[in-house]
Amino acid sequence: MAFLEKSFLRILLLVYCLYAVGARAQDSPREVRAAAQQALVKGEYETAAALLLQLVEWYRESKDNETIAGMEMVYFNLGLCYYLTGQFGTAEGRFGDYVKRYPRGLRAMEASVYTGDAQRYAGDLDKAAGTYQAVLKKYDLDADWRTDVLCSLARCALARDDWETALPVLAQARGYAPDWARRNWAGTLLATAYLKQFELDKVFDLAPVLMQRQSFTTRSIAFNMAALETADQLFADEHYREALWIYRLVNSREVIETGSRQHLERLHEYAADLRAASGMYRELLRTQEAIGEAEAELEALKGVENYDNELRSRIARSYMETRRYREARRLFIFLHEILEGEPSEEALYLAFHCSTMVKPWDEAFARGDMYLAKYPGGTWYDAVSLTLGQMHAVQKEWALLIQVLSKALEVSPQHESIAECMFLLGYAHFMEERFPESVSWFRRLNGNYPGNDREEEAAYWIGMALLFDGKYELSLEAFNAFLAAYGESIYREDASFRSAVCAYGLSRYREAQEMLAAFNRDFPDSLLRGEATMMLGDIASYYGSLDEAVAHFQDAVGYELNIELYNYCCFKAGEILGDQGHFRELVEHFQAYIERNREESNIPQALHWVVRGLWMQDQRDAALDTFIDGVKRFGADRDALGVDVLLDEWIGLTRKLEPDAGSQAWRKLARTIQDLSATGNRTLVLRLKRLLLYRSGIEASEKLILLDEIVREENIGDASPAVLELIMDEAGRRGNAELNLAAAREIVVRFPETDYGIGARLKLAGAAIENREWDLAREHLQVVIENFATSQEAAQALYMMAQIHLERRQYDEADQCYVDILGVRQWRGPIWPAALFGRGECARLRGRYDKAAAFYERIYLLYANYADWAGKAYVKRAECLVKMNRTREAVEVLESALAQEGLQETDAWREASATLARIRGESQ
Amino acid sequence: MKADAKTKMSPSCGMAAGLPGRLPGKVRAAAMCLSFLLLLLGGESALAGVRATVHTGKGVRDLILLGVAGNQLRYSFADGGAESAMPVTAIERVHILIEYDRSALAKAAGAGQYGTAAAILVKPILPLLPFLSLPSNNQTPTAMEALVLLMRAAGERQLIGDQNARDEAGRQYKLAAALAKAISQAEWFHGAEEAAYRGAFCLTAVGETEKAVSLMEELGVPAETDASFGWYALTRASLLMLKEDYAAALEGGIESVVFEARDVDSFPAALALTGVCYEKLGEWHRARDVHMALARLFRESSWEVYGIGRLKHILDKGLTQAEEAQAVHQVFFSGREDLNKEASELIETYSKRKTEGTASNEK
Repeated sequence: MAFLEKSFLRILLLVYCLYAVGARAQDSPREVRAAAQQALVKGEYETAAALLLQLVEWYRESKDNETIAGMEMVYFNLGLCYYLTGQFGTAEGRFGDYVKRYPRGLRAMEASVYTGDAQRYAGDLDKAAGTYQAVLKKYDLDADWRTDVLCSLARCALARDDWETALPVLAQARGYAPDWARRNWAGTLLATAYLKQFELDKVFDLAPVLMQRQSFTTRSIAFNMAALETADQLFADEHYREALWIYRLVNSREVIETGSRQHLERLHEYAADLRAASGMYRELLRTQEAIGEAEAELEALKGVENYDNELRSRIARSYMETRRYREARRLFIFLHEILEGEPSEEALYLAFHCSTMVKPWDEAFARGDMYLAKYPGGTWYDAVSLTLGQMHAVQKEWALLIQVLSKALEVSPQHESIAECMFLLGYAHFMEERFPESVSWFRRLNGNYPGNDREEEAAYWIGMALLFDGKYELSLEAFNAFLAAYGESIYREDASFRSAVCAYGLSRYREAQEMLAAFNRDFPDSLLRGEATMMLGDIASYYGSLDEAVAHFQDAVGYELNIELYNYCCFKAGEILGDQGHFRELVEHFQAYIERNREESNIPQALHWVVRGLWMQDQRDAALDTFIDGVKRFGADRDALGVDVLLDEWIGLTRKLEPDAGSQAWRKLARTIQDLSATGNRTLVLRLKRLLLYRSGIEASEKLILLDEIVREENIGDASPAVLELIMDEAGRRGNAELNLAAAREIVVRFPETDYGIGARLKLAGAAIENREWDLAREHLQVVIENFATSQEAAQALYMMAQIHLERRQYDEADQCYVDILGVRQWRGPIWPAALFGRGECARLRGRYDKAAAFYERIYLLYANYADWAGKAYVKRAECLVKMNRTREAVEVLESALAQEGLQETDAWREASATLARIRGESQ
Repeated sequence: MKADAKTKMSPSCGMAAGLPGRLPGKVRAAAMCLSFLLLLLGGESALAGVRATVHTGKGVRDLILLGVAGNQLRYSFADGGAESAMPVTAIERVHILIEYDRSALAKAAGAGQYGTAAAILVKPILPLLPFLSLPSNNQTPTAMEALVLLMRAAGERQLIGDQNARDEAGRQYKLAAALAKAISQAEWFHGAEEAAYRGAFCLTAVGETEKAVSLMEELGVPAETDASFGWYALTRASLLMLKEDYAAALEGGIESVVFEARDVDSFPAALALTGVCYEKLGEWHRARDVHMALARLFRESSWEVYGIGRLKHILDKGLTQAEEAQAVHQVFFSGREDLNKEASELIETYSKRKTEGTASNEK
C-alpha cells in the first residue's frame, strides 16, 4: 500500500511540475477567476490553487449570497488542486471547508469522497474508512460513485490485511459496479478472500469471472498466490479434483508479468489521453490509482520465484489422479519437451504411465519405446520395460515382448523385476513355439533365483514347453518333478493330465491309460476330463477294444470339449460303429448328434452317416427321406455349405435305385419343392431346384425353364454358394456379364473362405484386368494365390498376375510369377509351356534376346504336344534371332516350324510362313 | 481529442468479458437486427465513408476514409475536396469516433444478453471493417469485443437453442467470420491471431469446413503457450468432430483444455467437446467428470444448462453405474469419491435453483 501511495504521488507531482506557473498580484478578481479556470483546464493545478486561494482570501468573509454561491466551485476546486498535487493534508482541510460551507452543495458528496481518498493516501486508514462509511450513509449515491466508495473502503481494509472486513464490502462493490472492470476487480479480491478462508464453493461460483485473460486475476499476485497455496493444500490432502479446479485458476508467472506490463502500458496511454482531454478528474484519479496498483504488482512479482512448470506439473498430476489420463498425458508430454534432466525424464515416464491407462495402447508403446531409447538405465527404466513387456503379453505380441525384455535385461542386468521379466520371456518363447529357448529361460529363472515368485509356474511351463517340443521323456520327468515339489499347486491337475499325455506321446499306452484313468478318478470335475476320456477312447481303439473305445468317445462328449474335439469324438465313435456294422447304433448315434446340434457341428456329415446307416439296413426310402428332411431342416441356412454336398450325394444314391424307385424319389422331391415354395424359403427352394437339373432324363426345355428360374439377379441375395456358382457360370455362358460378376461378387463377399471363392475371384480378377483396375485384380489374385496355394486355380491366378505385371512393364515381378508356376510339379500341364513362354516374353521385352530365344526353344523341344505354344515359340525365337542378326538361324527355325505336322494350317504356322517370307524379303 | 479520450475503451474494461452465455432474454429484436446487418455486409452502403482523425508523421488530419486498396488508403478531407490516397505505412494512429449506447451495451452484456449486446456494438463497427487493419486504429479492439459478443451469442444458440435459434446462430457465425477476417488483417493488433482462429472456428460452426481447413493451414500451428492456441486446438478438434473421428477430436479438444484456461469462451467449449467425444467413445465416467466440471465451473450460463443436461442423461441411463477399476494406491490411500452422488447432488441443486427462480419470477 505504501508503495502504491508513493507511485500515485509521483504521478501527481509530475503533473504539478509540468504545469506550475506563478500568479500576478495586479490582476482583478474577475481576471484571477478566469486565469484559475484556464489553469485548471490546462492541468496547471499549483497555479490554479494559488489563484483560487487569492479569491478565497478576497471573499472569505463575504455575506452576499450571490458571492457565496459564486465561490462554491472555487472552494471545491481549491481542494481538488491540492489533492491533485499530492498535498493530501491541505486537500482534506479544503474539502472539509467546502463541505462545511456548502453542506448541500452540488459537490458536497464528491468533496467528502475526496476527503476520504486524501486521508487514505495520507495513510490514515481508519479515518478514511470512517469518512467513506459516512458518505455511504449520508448520500444517495449512484452506482458509479457507490462502487468507487465501496472499492476505496475495501482498500482501507485490505491495506491492513483485514479480509474479514473487506469481504462484505467487496461483495457489495461487485453487486453495484456498473462496469466490468470494477466488477472483476471486486470479484477477484472476493475470490482471494474465499481462497484464504477455504470456501471453495464460493470460489467456483466466481470461476467464469476469474478465468479471463483481461481479468484482474491475470495480474494479482495476492489472488494467484492464495490460489496456489489453497490448491497445494488440497493436493497434499489428496483432494485432487478440487485441487485441479483451483490450479486451473492460477495464472503462470509469465502470464502475470506479461499481463501486468501490457496493462501498465495501456494505463499510461489512457492516463495521457485523459490528461490531454482535461476535466475528467475522477477517471484520471481512478486510472492513476490503477497505475499505482499495477506497478505495485510488478514490484511484488520480483520476489516470486518462477513456478510455471511446477504448476503445469501439479495440474498434470491432478488430471492423472482424477483419471483424466489423456489430459494428464498431453501436459506431461509438453513438460517432457520443455524441461531438462530428471524432471524431463519423469514427465516422459508419467506420460507413458498415463498412456497405459488409455486404450488403444499405441501411444503407450510409442512413449514407452521412446523412454527406453532415451534413458537406458534411467530411474524408471525397469518399470517402463516391465510394463511394456506385460502390455505386449496382454496383446499377445510375443515377438515384441521378447524384443523389449531381452534388451531390457541386457541394459539392466540387475532389473528390479528380473524374475518377472524372465518368466515373461519364457512364456513368450513358448507362445512363439520357440520351445528350447522357453525351457532355457524358465530353467535360468529357477536356477538363478530360487524361491522367486514365479518358481512354481516356471516349473510347470518347463514341462509344457518340453511337451510341445515333442520331448515327452523330458517333459514327463519335468511334470513328475513338478508334482513332487508342488503337490498343492493349482497346476497339479493340469500337470497330472499332461504327464499322461507325455506317456501317450511316448507310445506307452498302458501307462497312459492308467494315468488317464487315475486322472479321471482324482479330478472328476476337471475341465480336462472330456479330453482325458477321449484319449482313453483312442487308446482302447488302438488296442482293438472297439466297444470300449466307442463308450469312451460317447462318454467324452458329455464333458467339456471344444468343438474340434467334440466332433472328433462323435465321428470317431460313428466310424467305429459303421466299421463294426452296428448300423442301428450308428443311426442313433448321429441322430443324437444332430439333435444336440452344437454350434459348428458338421450336420451334413452326420446326415451322411445316418443315411449310410439306414441304406445299409436297407431302409432306402427312409435314407433318401432323411436326406431331404435334413436338407429341409438345415438347408434354409445359406452358410450350411455341406447341404449342397449332401444334395449331390442324394443324386448319386437315386442313381443306384431301381428306375421306378428313382423316379418316385424325384417326384417326391418335386412335391417337396412345391410345398416349400409356399413357405417362401428361397434359399432352400433354389438349392432343390438346382438339384432338379441333375434328374436323369430331364428334357432340355425343362432344364432351360429351371435355369431361367434360377439364373436371376433377384436370387443372388438368397442363393447358397453352389447355386451362386451355377448362376455365375450360366450367366457367363449366356453372355450376361453383369449377372456373372454380381454372382461372383456375392460369393466373394458372403462366402470368402470357401472353395467357391476361387472361381469367383478369378472371374472378378479377369474383369478387373479388362478394365485395367490393376489393384483390384491383384487383390483378388493374391487371395487365390495365398489361400488356395496348391490348387490349379492358384497357378491360373499367378499366370494372370504375371500378365498384369507384364502389362505394367514390371518384368522382374512377372518373371517371378512364371518361375513360381514352373516350380510346382502338380501344375505340370498346359500352364507350364504358357509360363515358359511368359519367361521368354519377359526376357525379350527387356531386350535379352539370347535368353528369350533359349526359353522359346525349350518350349518347342519340351512341349511340342502343346501345338499352339510350340508354334508361337518358333515364331518368337526366330524374331529374337533376327534381332541378334542371326538371320540364317532364324530361317532355319521357321523352316523347321513349317515342317512340323502338328502345326500345319494353324495360326502359328501361318504366322511362321509370313515371318519367313518377310525375313527372306528383307535379306534379299 | 476530447472526444477520443471519452470514447476510447478503458484498458481494463471489456464488456465482452462478462459471464459466458447467460440464458437468452430479449434476443429476438437483436437477432433481426443482426440479420439486417448481414445484408449490409455485402453492400456498398456501409462503405460510404468513415470520419476519422489520422495521425501521420506530418501531423494530424480529419479525414473521410473511403477505402483501402492494397497499401493505399483512399480518403477525402472532412471539410471537402477531391478524393486522394496515402500509403497505409505513413499512418501512425487512427482515431474513429463511433456512436452507440454504452449503457445499454453494458447492461445487456452484464445480463448475459449477448445477442442484444452484439447487435449494439456490431452496427457501428460494421462500416469500419475495411479500416480495422489501419495502424493503431482505436476501434479494432472494439471490433474484437463485438466479435467475442457475436460468437458468444451464436454459441449459446447453437448449444441449447431450437432449430430457429440454430439457424440464427449460423447467420451470426457468418457475420462473425467476416468480422474476424477483418480484425485478423490488423497485424499490429495483439488479438489479430486469435481473431483469425476464431474466424476459422466460425467457418467450422457453419459447416464451411473446406474454407476453415484452408484458413487453418494458412495460419499454421501456434505454440502451446500462445494466447491463440486454445482457439486453434478447439477449431482443429471441431473439424475432426465433423469427420466423426472422435478419438482424434478428443485429443484436439484436450489440447485446448489443458493449454488454455484463460479464455472464457474457448475453455468451456473445449470442455464440452471433450465431454461429447468421451461419450462417443463410450468412456462414460470421463464424460461425467467433464460435464460435472462444466456445470460446476460455469454456473448460471448456457454451459451449465448443457452440462446438467448431459449429466442427467448419463445418470438416468445408469451409464456410470458400474464402478471403475481402482489402482491399488487409490483404493488404500485416496479418499473414495462417489462422483455419481456428487453429480446427482449437482443436478438436484440446479433443479432447486431453477424452481426457486421460476417461483420468484412468478411472484
